[in-house]
Amino acid sequence: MADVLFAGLHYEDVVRKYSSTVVSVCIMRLKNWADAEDCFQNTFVNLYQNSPKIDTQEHLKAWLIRVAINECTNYIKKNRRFLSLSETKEQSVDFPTDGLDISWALVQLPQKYRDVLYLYYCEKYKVAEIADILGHNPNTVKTLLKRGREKLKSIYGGDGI
Amino acid sequence: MKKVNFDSLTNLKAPDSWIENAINVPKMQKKKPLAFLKYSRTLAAVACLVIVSAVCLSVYLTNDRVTPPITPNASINNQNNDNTENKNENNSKDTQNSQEISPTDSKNTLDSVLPDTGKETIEPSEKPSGTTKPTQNESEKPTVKPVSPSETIEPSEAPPTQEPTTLPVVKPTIPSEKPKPTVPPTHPDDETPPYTPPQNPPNLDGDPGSPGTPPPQAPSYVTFSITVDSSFVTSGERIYCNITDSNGSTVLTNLPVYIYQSGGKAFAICDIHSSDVAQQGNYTCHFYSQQGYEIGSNTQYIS
Repeated sequence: MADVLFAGLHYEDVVRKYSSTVVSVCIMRLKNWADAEDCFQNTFVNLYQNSPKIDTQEHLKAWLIRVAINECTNYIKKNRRFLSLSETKEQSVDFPTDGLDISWALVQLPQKYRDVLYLYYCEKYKVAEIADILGHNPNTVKTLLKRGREKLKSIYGGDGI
Repeated sequence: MKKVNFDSLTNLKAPDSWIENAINVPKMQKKKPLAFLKYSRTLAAVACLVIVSAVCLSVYLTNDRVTPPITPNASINNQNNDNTENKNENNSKDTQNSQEISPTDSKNTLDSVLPDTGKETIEPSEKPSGTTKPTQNESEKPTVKPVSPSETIEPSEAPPTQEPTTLPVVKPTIPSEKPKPTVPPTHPDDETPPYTPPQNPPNLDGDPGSPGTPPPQAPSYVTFSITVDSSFVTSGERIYCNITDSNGSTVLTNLPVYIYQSGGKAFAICDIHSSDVAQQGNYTCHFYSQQGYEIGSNTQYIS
């Protein structure tokens, strides 16, 4: 399997290059390092086992993001558990709340808005690409994007998006 | 307007351990043995066991379906044309007669006297072999013609009979009818031996009986029979009979009477050998109940 190339990259190179993207998606979804690690590993295991035919690196990135989102969704469905506050604090991701970084507000949004806003603002995807990744209608993505912005503004209480 | 950003979320770095673990996934996949290979021996043993069991089961079922060879029935029962449907339930199962009776006249006699299956069961108490053909018409020539059975028990020994193979019908006497002898009756009295068909009569001509020679018209059995009520069968009441000649004189007494039931009717039969009477002539057999009441009578010409 070491000879298998993904968009011209070896598996190891793919892992090193897109590890930050996959971990960001997992943290955005799960807000928990421990859970994010499982989904992170599963994402690359899927890549290695399935060996999809990917031509371009953009395609590869989109594929990894979509798989990571699905893994996080499945993980949430399978491992719904009630954690104590202490455990939650230890595992949760702390985002800075001061400054212009409103990542903390983003992770507080509902899931459907969070995915769309992350892909739009963090990964710089277009509406059509977001629709393709998430499997939504582009108009749905637009609607979610608009509503997400409004909710985000209401959370961080400001403007600038 | 200050522009907000999501730098902290975007710039998240995966720990090195995570990266190393993800890189090592291919190595872990290689080391992982296939479950099939791990349990290959067990699977092979189970498969062999299943195959052997299936083979054994199929062999067993195949052999089980093999039917045993059909042995020819010793009693190639000659069926009277008239007695094919009659079966004597009281018929004793003594097969001695079947062996004693030569296939020709004795068979004929038996068939003529008794119901069909009585060929091998009923033993005559005191009668040698002989055949009789109960004649319905008393005025007929008193020649007792042996009646050949339709199908002889021992065809190898039985010469063809002169008479037609149809067995004579013995009808009850009361309305001057003669019941059909079908199967040998079973005697209700233990003292009376089971009816056995009479043996072949000796050849009148002294002919040793060449093959193909019909049975001679020798002295043979004469059957007297009447129709009786079925209650005699169920109650087991004994019936007695006396033989009287044309003058009314009692010739024979205390003869064995056989009662059998066939076709919903009951018949009482009494057999005598023609040699039991001194003279030729009409003889009447009177059947009496145990209380002494005459049930019926049957007249036969004995030569």
